[in-house]
Amino acid sequence: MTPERWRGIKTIFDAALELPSAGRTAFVEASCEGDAAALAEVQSLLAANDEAGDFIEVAPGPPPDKEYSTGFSIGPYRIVQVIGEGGMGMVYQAVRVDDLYRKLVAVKVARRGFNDSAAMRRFETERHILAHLEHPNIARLLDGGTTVAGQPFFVMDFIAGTPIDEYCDAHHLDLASRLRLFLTVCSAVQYAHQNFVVHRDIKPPNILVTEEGAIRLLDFGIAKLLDPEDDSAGATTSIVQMMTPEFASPEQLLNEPVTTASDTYSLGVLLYILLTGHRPFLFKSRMPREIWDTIREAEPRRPSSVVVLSERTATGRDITLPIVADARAIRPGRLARELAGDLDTILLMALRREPHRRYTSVEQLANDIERYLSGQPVLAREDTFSYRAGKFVGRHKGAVAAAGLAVLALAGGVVTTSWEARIATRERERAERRFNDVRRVANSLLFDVHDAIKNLPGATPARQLILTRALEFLDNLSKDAGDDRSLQKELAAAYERVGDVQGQAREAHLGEPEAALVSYKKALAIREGLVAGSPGDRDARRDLVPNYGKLSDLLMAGGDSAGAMEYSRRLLQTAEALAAVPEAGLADQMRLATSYLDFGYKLGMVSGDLPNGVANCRKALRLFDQLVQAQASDKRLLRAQSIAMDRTAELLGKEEAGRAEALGLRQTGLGMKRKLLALEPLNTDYRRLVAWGIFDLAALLEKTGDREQARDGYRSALESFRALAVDDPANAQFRKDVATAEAALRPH
Amino acid sequence: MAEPDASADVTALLVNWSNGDNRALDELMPLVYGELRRLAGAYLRRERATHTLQSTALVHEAFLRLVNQQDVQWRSRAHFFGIAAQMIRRILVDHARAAQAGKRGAGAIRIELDDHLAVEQQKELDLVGLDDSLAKLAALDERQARIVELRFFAGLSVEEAAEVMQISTATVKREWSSARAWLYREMTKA
Repeated sequence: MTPERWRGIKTIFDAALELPSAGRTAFVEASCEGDAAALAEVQSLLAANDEAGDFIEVAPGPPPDKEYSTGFSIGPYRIVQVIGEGGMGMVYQAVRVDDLYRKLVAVKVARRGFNDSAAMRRFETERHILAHLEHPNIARLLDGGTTVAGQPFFVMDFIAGTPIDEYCDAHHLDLASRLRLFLTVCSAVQYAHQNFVVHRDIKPPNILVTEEGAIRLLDFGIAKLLDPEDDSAGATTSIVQMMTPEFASPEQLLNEPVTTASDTYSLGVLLYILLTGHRPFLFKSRMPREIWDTIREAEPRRPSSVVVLSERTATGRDITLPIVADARAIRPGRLARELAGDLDTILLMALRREPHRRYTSVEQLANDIERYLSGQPVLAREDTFSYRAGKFVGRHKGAVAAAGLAVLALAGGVVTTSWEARIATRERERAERRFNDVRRVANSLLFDVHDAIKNLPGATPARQLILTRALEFLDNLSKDAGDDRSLQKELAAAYERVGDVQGQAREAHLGEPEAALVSYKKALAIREGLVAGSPGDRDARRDLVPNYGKLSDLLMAGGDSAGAMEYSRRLLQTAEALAAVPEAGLADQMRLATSYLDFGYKLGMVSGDLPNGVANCRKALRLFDQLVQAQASDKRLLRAQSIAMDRTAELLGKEEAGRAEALGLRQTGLGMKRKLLALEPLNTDYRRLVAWGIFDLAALLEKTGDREQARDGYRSALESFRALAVDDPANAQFRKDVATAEAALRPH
Repeated sequence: MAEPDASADVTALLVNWSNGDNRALDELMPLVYGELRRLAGAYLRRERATHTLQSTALVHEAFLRLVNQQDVQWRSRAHFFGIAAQMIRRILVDHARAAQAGKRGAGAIRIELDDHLAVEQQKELDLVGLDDSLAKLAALDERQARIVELRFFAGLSVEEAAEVMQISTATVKREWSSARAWLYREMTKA
């Protein structure tokens, strides 16, 4: 048969099919024009066509499962009644053939056998683990096996009961009763977790309540038994195939590892339904994409808000506030209020998208519920901004502005909520505690976002937007801060951070100095107020020092020498006050030393008052000497001292008379830096310190006329700068250092 | 690890490919294959509910997962299903071959006789045989084999297959029926 011949055969075959069967034979004979082979071919094809039935009309799938009926046996169990189709297969009520007591069991036959013996072995191991779960609220796995057809089956206690959600509604159980029922469920799940079994399929049909009101959990870890390879990265649960995706945790849907936290999530969904009557997520359709996107992106609806909605289930059942409230034996008006606050928070915490952000154990969830029931404060916390901020910035690197806006808008939102809670009559204490968390979080928000945006190249517009919002937020917060000292301290720190970003005084020549100035001044105003209000508060006083320092540096860079000096003076005064008392520590002394240095350096460089400048620098050096004698091994101290020597040398070197001493200082300083580098050879900061030490020394040598040595120094420094740039190609500063050194070597 | 946002890549590749960039296909294949494999794997281990069109659901789901619906034209969609059909065939057939090999080995399940059971052997479709036969058909008529692949493995309807192949529905119907007859005959040969 060739392709050409086949085409001919097909044509005849096709045409023949168009005809009624009666006329086909004649037609075919005529069409084949005496070609016997062709005739045979077409005829056999037509015959095959008749016989084929639904051959490949149906896409490939597994063979339909064997279904049993009453009286048949599955292993040693005889079927008494066909119960129906469950999630994983058919369920039968049965008795053990040799059982005198005719105890009723449930036999569940799974749909498909295993293809390899390794899977079978794993199945057996798991089954044994499950069989050892003994808990009053867990339906026991009694037995298991494989049918002749290769289908695994399980035998469990036969439980006659109602799914928990239906039970609660039918009995009009109030919120507290539902919570208590839920606690029983939790204890069962927790027990299983302690035995390393994850349920994986927690949903109302698997939690039955018997007539006597006892809870029984079913199908523990069954999903894991049936899917022993579920842990492999390759396994995906197809949403199409999930019966109840609403209960599946995001990680189950997204093919990530399933842990006990997945059960926590499903428990969260369960409790959500028990308390509100609604589902946490509203899926617009059951399209896999829709479900997937919703779980990935949307937030669960706030319980206290969802109860007022009117919805209709897929089966046509109405869920409205009157209906839901009636089922919970509560007046419609009260339900939202009861849920608002702690219950909202508990539920939302259990339903967090990321497993590690939920309750760390079912026990923790249960404990929080118990705390709620006994009127104690709960541990659950609202979702934090800094976390969201981090995620946003991570995911939308190019759209940080939007992220920042969203995050900061959230920040504003939660503050308002907290304040409403404060105004509300109940649990003022709890509200305050939450407010404390809010501002702690607001602080971290700024830090996290700051760090993230710091590294964004050319993201000035984004940065601008975030900063604007951040400032708005802080300004609002500070209006309400009242006399909360620790809040004010944090506010001041936040303003300072904002100022850092705006000013970037020590870094590249970007930034808005005026705006930074305003922010720093806001911080300073708060801090000066704090010190004035409580002069003994040393921490508050200490906070002033870097604040003054930054203001001074900023003004110096901007050319306002008077302003720069003023702040430097105040800085020194503050440092002196801190160091003067007996309880002053090493840090206070070091601060004083650097303050002398800062003041002295600026006097010399900015005001042009060299003698007084040098004098203050010498004070700094003497103080450093004393400190180093007391704490020789403190690297920070050594570093600071070496820089102090540099600064002093810089001042001295301005005049010819001082150059010899400057040279000595630079050499000593360089020696100290080399010592530091020897202690930590890979420390980039030290490497740069040494390189600059060599460079500055070379510059001084050039001034004193030592051209040869100067060039050697420049060359050596250049080598080091180049090495640094090679190690960190993205670092712009290192590249500048190389350029500076190269420029120094060019003839001039 | 969180699901990477692969849909942007796949969509772009798909669009490029259907606009004629063949290199895009090279990049596209492993992405699609990976997704199908993952979905099919689960399906093959624990399938549910109806037996009809399971592979179709898989391919559709892979499509939904991988491709941004708004961004693709019908033409790209057709391309996607074209390659998905090939891939799902590969996956299912490989699985079937492995299963066959396993059964013949020592791990085969013993058959017990139990007269309580109503023995009703379901005719399991011999995927391996089908694959072999389909390969033979392809030697005779490439287009027909493709149509079978699309309709059977990706579960496309006649209309959908016509779109993918850019031929009329009448042609698809004709090709389908003769292919089916041929394959049936081939597979029921002794």
